[in-house]
Amino acid sequence: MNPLKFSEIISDLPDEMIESAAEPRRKSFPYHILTAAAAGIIMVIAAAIYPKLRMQIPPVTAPPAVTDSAVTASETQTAAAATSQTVSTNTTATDDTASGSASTVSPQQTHTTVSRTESAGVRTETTAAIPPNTELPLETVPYTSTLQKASADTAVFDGTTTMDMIPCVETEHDTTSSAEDKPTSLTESTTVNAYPPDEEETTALKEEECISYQTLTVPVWSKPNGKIPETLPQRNDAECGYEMWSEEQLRAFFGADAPPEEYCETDYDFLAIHCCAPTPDMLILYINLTQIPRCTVMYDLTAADYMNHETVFVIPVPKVLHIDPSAIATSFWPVEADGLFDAYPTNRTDIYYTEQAQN
Amino acid sequence: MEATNDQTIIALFEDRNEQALAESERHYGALCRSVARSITGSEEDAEECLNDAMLTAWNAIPPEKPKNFRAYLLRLVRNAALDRYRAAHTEKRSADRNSGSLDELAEIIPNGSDVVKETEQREILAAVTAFLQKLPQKQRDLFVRRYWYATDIAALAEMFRMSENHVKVTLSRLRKRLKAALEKEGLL
Repeated sequence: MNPLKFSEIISDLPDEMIESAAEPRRKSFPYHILTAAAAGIIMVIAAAIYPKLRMQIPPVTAPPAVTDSAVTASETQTAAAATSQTVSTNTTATDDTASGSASTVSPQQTHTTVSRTESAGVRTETTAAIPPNTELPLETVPYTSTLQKASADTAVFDGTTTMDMIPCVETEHDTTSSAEDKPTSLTESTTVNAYPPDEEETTALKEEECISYQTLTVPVWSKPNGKIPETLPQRNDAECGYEMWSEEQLRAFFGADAPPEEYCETDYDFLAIHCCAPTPDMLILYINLTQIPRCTVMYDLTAADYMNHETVFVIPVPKVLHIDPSAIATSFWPVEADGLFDAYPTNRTDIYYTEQAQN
Repeated sequence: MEATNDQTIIALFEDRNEQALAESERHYGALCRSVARSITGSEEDAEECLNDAMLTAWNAIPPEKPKNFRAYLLRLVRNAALDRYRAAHTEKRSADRNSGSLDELAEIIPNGSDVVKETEQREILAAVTAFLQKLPQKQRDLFVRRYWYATDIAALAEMFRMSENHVKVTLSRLRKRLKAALEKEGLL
């Protein structure tokens, strides 16, 4: 076969194809008319809808006043629910020496705690049952309310000072039974949950409060990841605190493998926290998002292991949260775990934090 | 309108009315000359091709009754032009005058024997038809215009409102795809 023969063969192409190609311009569709019509329709719709959408922006109102009145048992229960989502559900009984008064709940009584999450005006409630035979402090420092107030105030906070205010507690915790030494290792910890601090059940959130809470699952890296030393040297003030790290800084500290590939995109900043004092293996980190009014993100670092005075741990923070590194306020809040509860009053760190924040 | 014209012209052919030739010339003469001229490269040869096609149609209708008279007449003209092209090419033994579309087809159709079995011709035609049916209409029209009507690139660019370079690139890609399709069928 040759091109001429091929050309002869295709002479018998179907009539439809030959007809169609005879006057191709006749079949051209006036797409420009369609485009113009679509643009016109969109403009009309936008002109009609946009003013209404603007009218639907919820007004920003002042935060409700927080009273420092005595806390009811429900507040404590609510706080317990907040921690029980990620920590052991066996709530340890506490004897809050700060308040000086505590009572024991009837062993037969089963408490149902409620935690709330509110997002885009939709509130969801999750309940957690506290087993009977659990002693619950009926009166304690209202850390939950205080935290609410702190987040509402969105105070610009000096992190270094905050870290100094974290009490250096001598714990009787058996360090040998805890995490093994993994110096300079990039430890991908478990989940870091940011969820709202609970408030007392009797406090009804108003619609216009518009508290936006985020739930995030991100790893936490720490270095070194070891025991709490016998002696507890303090860091200098200048060495403590937190800062936002770039990927390069992260790599310089943790090595070439950090951060994992999924965090190498531009969607994350990295919050590096330099611990001043030993912290327990379970803690909660509050971050006030000063650029989002009345929004507090609470990271639950349940598997950060022991962090000593040399520990630096890093949390990838989605940029969508708009955390301003110069105005970030954090606090560590240890929760009950293996006896640390006694050593660390649950509200102690938070009290320091919130008081400092309000000052 | 064209269907009405075609039926009228065919009716004149069947009545053996010489007006059929005049009507055919009036409606489709220009297009037929254009195709013949693109293939033969000569105005005179194109005119001869048209006359040959008219004579063939006069002798064939009746008994034939083509469904699409324009396509039928164009096909007659094209075949006449290809015959004339082959004769001229054989005589001169030199570069062909129609260096456009056939040269391009030479990229995918190797020069070989002019003798192709009837069954193989049918298979090739079926494969090309299937290939064209899968194409978007614009690309199909472009291909047919180029390799059936032998329309030159500049005219295609104006006809399809594309740049000449765009036309060339599109045709080149279509040729490669056609070659792949024919090779897949074992026809090349």
